[in-house]
Amino acid sequence: MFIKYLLGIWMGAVCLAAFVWAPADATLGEISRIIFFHIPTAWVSVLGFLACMVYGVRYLRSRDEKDDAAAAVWAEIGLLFIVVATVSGAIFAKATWGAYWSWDPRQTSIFVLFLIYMAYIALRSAIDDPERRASLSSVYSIIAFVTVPLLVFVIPRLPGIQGLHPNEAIISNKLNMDLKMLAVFIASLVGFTGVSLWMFGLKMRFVALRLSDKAEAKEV
Amino acid sequence: MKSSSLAAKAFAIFAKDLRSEVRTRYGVGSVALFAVTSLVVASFAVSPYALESDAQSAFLWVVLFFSSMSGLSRSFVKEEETRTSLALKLSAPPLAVFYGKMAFNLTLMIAVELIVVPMFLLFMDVSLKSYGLFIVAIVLGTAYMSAATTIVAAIISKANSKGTLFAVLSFPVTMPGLIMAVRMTNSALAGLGMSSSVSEISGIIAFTVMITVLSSMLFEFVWND
Amino acid sequence: MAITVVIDGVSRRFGERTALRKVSAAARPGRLLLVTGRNGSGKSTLLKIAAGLLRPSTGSVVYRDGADDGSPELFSDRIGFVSPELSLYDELSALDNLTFFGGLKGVRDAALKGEALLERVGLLDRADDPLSSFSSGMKQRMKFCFSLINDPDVWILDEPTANLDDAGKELVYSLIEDMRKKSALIIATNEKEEVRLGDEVIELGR
Repeated sequence: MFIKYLLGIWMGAVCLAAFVWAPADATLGEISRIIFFHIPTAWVSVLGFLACMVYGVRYLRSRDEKDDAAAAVWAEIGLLFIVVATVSGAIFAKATWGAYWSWDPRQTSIFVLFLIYMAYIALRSAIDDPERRASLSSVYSIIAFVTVPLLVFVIPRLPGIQGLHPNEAIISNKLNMDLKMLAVFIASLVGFTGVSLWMFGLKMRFVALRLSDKAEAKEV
Repeated sequence: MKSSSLAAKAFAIFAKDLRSEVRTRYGVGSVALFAVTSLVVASFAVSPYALESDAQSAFLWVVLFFSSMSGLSRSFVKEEETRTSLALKLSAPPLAVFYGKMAFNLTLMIAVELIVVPMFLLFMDVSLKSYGLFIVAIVLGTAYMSAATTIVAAIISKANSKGTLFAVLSFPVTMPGLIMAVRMTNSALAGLGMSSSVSEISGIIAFTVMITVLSSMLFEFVWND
Repeated sequence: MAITVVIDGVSRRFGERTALRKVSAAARPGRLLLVTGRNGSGKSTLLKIAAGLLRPSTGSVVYRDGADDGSPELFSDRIGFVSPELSLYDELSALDNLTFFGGLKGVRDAALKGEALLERVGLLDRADDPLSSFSSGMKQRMKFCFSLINDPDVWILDEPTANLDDAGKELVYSLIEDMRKKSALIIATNEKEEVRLGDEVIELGR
């Protein structure tokens, strides 16, 4: 309960600070403020994907319905955040290098991540038996996960693939980022991670209720 | 389990699938028909000109991807539809089934490519400059696709809607391999030598091995379900 | 070496539906376990769990052969299984089917063994015909050949006389008589005359 209000206040403060308190980047201008939202949401979508895979592995070991439900919940959260990250990234791209979409390696990888989430959810909806659905979707999330390093680490390093992304500039200069910008950025990263964990907790309480309902129905 | 007997069992399953295929020609027929149709349509539309080499290489892999989508799931789906998977489960270890099916898928793809690639070179008016790299691109791209799609085929054979789901699930998994294969093909058409594609070649080999090992570890969970 | 099959408190759920609730029983050579019960009472589910084809939700199935006890999966080469859910390859000939499955199960001279079995069930003259040309009764006979190709120590039969005529039924009964002394048998059936075969009879779904 307390955490929920704390998160609300925290995120409110982050939003406010991102637009008012932190200065705009000297070269990029006002549009630079989008990184306070774009990078944290992209981070959460990757985190959700990782968590989905980890819960998949756990399910295959434990055969516990709850692990499978947790994997599915993370996939849903990840999908939500990836939409935000993709849209904010596209706006940023239009403003800085003139096109919403240009198959920059990071755009490619986030696009494939998006496809994997969609495929995962499509697979789940195509299987009726819960146990079968759980083990097949767990296997798929693990298989899909290994393609991510290929996209994120190998393909961008191929000669001739031009990265348009400003991430190098941001990451390597992060310490040179204005101190206020850095503070807001980190606060936002923490805040979005907190929001995703809170969403996860909420959904899992719902799942637990549903599972216990089912267990009771079985006893009768 | 001795590895020699595992290989023998995998080979027996591969030979069985091959025999059924030779008898029915279902897989090769549907795959080749798809490939030939799309090649002919594209070449008809472009003629008398030729596409740019990057468009040509992308087109070749689009054709190969979707034609394999129409055939590679067949060997698993058929086991489920004709309910023979139970007898196979009772008789062979999962790994033998996995490797046998993967070998069959690879063979099916190669058979299709023996038809499609010469047609592609002919119809699309391709000026091929580096034969060596071209062959390497085709072989490695094919190996990656068969490796990555075999377990996906096993997964969708247990799902309700099999047709479109196979492509939907396969695309994200095969995309990294497709990107590299397209780049290699493009270099080959442009006349760049093998040395221009060292990172693609090593990358695609590493990931083919990786996805094969991982799939064979996970296959049991799919097959025994 | 003879195997004893011990089924210990096995339950199985499919999603929300409970198919099987806490079943315990045992089968060994000379002690035929017969499972009966109305349709949908979980007979097939129990047999699949006993053969290691399905995981129980709770409880366990253990095969004991004196030396190393273990789950059914470890003994898969020594199980024979007949079920209405089983199918062999329609496009292959009778003998090719048996050679293929025998080879997978590590049977030496699977072709010779297959011919002997085809003779036993009266299908030797059709050995080279594809199964697609077989009637359902002939396919049922083929399933017996399939299940016996590895001389199983555990023989599990789900509705063994389904689709069979009187001669076929007699054949099945004589096979059962041959096997019951040396193998652990588990049979699921609702036929009155077959229920009598059981040394131990359990009725599911009461």
